Amino acid sequence: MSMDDPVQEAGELESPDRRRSLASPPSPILVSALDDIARRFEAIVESSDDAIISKALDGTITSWNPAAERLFGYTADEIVGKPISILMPAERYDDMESILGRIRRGERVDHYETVRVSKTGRKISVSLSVSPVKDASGRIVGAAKIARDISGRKEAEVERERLLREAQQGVQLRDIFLSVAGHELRTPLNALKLQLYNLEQRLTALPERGMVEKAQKEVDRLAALANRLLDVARLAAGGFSMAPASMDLVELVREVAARMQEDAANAGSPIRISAPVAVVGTWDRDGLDQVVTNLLSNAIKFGRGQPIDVMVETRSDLGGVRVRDRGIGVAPADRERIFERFERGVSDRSFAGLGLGLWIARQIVSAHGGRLGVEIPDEPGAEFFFWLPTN
Amino acid sequence: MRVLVIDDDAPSVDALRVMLESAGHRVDCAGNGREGLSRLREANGYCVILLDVMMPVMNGYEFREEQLKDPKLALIPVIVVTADGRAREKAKQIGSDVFFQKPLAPRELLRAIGRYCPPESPA
Repeated sequence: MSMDDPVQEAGELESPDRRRSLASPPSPILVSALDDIARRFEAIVESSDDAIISKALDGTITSWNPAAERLFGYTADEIVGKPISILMPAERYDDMESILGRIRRGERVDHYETVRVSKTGRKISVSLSVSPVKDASGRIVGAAKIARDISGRKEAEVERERLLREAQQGVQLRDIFLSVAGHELRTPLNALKLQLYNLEQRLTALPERGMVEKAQKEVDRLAALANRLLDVARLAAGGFSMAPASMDLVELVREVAARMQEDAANAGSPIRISAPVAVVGTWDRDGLDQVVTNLLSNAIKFGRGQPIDVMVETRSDLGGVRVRDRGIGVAPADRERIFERFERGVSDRSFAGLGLGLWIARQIVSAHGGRLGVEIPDEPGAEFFFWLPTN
Repeated sequence: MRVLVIDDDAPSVDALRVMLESAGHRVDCAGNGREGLSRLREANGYCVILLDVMMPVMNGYEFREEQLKDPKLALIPVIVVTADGRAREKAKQIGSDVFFQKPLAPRELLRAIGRYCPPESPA
């Protein structure tokens, strides 16, 4: 190959030599114009960032630009005249036949992603575009091939897929871990609680029964703490996963209140429910059970032995619950802080807790697209509320 | 009439057996779903099944599927008892309305069992 014949080198496009041989001597203007085109063409090929290679129909390489040298490591002198198969990894030989077959039929191959091999044996991911090259009579005499190095892109794709896979595995592992941790924490508590009950049933002396009863309460506290911590881990790691279904908020509130009636009565804070109509929506029942349980247990805990009023209401497309206690109340400065993780309205040791309940409740209500907050009434006490869209 | 407890946690099963027997119930126990099916097929007269969910060999879901396939067993009611969390959702998947989250509340559980099985001896 000679560098002073760039047009032929770069693809045996319409060869000026061939033209000259077919026609009467061309005019100097035409020769000058063709030279001009050839120079421009040469400049493009030489400066291209993509490897531009031409080959004959038998696969012999006929031209090789500087980008091809950079990509594959062979100089033009080394490789022109050699078969194109030199660039093929053994497992891609079929590629070559299929590409050459299409070229012989006059077809183009566009952005074909494959692998080629460099002089040093390194495999390179490339995108190939191959066009047939015809002579002046329209006969296909070879092919011009543009090869773009897509190793970087391929590596990035592989890396992205790897990261995605890792992230998915991480989420899956986290869920499995939380589920197993919950199971493993609750299982021994279960045996402990049942055996304490069995023991309590066998004891006749009152003081001993009282001790066992207290031990049972501690088991419940441990179970509640385990549940809280697992909830927080789950919420902090990836949000609240919901299983929404049609349900009546009034029914739920009555169920939770019935469950807590004994604690409420012991604290001297009877729960009074006002729920004039059913409040039906599509919500996660377990999640809302936790929210209502939290608001009621706070009202009992901080209610100073005064009655607790629970109002279940509906307005336009919202369903809501208000829990009004007459206890120690919430200081205006603490109004938002109490919904933060590990924050508590009172630091007093006489009120146990991790400071997680309201944070969890707010996460659950937010996951429903609702709002949970507190009003500070003029009278003593607090009024916690939440509103949920009904659909 | 007997209560069948299917649970792989031996300490829980021991405690449940004592609790149920003290309340006047006759109790059989199985350590996984497959053993549970064997018990059910060996003898008649089960009034309720207390079914754990996460168990080796055959878990609660698989057990329930097999139970429902067998017309002789399909009608025995199931109370789901699970330590997994989201008990309601799991019970629903299993096809039972009655469920308890571990640690179990003894009095409530006894009441629920009593709805299917009257105690045979005075508690």
